[in-house]
Amino acid sequence: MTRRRSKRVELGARYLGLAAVATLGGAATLSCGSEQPQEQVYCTNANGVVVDEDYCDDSSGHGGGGGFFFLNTGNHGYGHQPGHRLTGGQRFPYNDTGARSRLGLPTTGKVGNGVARGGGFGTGSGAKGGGTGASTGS
Amino acid sequence: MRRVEIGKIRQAWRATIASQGLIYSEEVGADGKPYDYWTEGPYYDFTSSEIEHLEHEMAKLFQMCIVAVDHVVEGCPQNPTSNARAEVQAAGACTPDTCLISKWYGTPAFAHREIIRSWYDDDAENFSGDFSPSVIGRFDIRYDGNGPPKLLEFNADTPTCLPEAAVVQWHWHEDTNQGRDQWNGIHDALKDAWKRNISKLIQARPHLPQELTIHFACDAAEKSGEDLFNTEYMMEVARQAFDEASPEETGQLFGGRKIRVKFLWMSDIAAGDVEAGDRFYEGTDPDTRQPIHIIYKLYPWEYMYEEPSAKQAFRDMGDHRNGTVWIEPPYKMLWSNKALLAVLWKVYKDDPEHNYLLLPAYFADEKPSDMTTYVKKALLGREGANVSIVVDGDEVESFGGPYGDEGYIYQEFAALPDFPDSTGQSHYPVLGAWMIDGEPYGLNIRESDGLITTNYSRFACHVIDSYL
Repeated sequence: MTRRRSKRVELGARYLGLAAVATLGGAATLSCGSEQPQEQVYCTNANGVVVDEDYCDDSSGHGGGGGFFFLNTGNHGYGHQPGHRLTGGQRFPYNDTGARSRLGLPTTGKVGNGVARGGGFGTGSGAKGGGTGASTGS
Repeated sequence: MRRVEIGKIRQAWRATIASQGLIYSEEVGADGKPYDYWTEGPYYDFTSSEIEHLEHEMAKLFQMCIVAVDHVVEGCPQNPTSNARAEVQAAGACTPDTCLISKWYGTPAFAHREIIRSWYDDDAENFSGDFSPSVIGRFDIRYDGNGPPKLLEFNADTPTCLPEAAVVQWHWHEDTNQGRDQWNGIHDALKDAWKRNISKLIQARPHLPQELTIHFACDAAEKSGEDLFNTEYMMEVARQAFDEASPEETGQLFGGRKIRVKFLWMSDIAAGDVEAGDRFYEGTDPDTRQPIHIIYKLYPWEYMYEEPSAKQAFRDMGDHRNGTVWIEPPYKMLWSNKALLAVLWKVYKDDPEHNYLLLPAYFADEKPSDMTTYVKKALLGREGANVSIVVDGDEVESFGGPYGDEGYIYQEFAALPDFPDSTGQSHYPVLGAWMIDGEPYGLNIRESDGLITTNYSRFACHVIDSYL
């Protein structure tokens, strides 16, 4: 009969090595050991107080906040709500496209509060679906 | 098709499957008790003629999916090649009233142009001059060995189960020597698919660099390792495809390019400034960051289009010279969404040459009033989430989840076949038929205790002609 299987299924050193590491230490060791974005971005007022992210959105359908609102990037941690005052970090006008670009953020539009700097997708991006810890496969 | 209850059990099989990348087999069930996702021992046995039948029907189903999406994209005002061009384009902007993608799928309008462009890239008549690589998908089907297979869903964008289907199951067959064969050409087919797709992309984009990196990404939040090893395996097989190419092949297919592969997390993809000619990068430091030319992402488009860099990604894709090429391409949104089931039924309901592969399915506003027995499926639900079975108006089984705001389809209920074991325990299998580069190349099975296949379902191996 006709063989329907692959002739050989061999795996390279990286794949097998990762499997060995994960088997010994658990899969979480693989993601924990990776280089992850460390800084988070928040929309704030002039006093460094977190405000609703819509104030830092100049895309169509949103008015933006004029010249009185800022994006602040730093090691702030996730989950701060409007009203929380940030300390430290780097602050720039929310509509400064050059600064956004340098920091790996979308040049226009909304940047969700708590977004990881440089993380346009996936965990920390403000994803609706991502970041739940569940598989994104099907 | 039959379930063989007593099969060989390999010594140290848990260590064996983990060494092959299936590090996520030891799970905790909904009842809080540990269980093995991998089934060692019992397996399914098919005849050669059953597998030939499935191969034939999956190829046919794939063509039907093409026709169905042709119908959808022709109903979008942003389609420059629509047969109904004047009428459709006169409709103006995409809204549920003017656009079938908006109406049936709810996909944001900013994504439509690239969905349509990527759809036509591989079409001889409508070739845009660019090429959108597409490597993999998996049909989930109901099949019992007697009647025809019936489509339950098409995991066309982010199919998982790949290492266990292509690698672990293959080695299980080698190790146990049960059955005469196995339908499992996935590994070899994937290598061929990477070669063909990247070769065609290079033809369309001859300016791609001579030292070309293809990135592979998934979400770091998934902690079991399932997403990571599905992505790592895809990267491994691509690496083999490029590394094993002969000098003649490298010259002919890749223009002499050295192609390497590299992993990164989705959150490490950095957005540059599109308006300044930038795009997406690995790294944020302007002095050291590397442009992402081509990326395979095990991350669904419907998550991406909700995220901060979504509009930038679709604008960037519009630059067919320098924009990042995303694999799977955006058009996969129109297959991986369960709206496809209702669209297929619209197109084929009166066609007995094709409709026997389908179960009648309807959008909410078109569900017949006398349809009281059905399966309600969230359009974007995954792994059985937000699926409920209703019989004579009463819900008999359901599985919760975070989906459903996007809408539902209603599909005729056809109970999965039951293959009970000697204790009377039910086993309900769903077959996964792997489509590699548009052709059927293998099979996996997921078994459940109930009628809904979920993330608690178990993987079962299969063979061909066990007792011949």
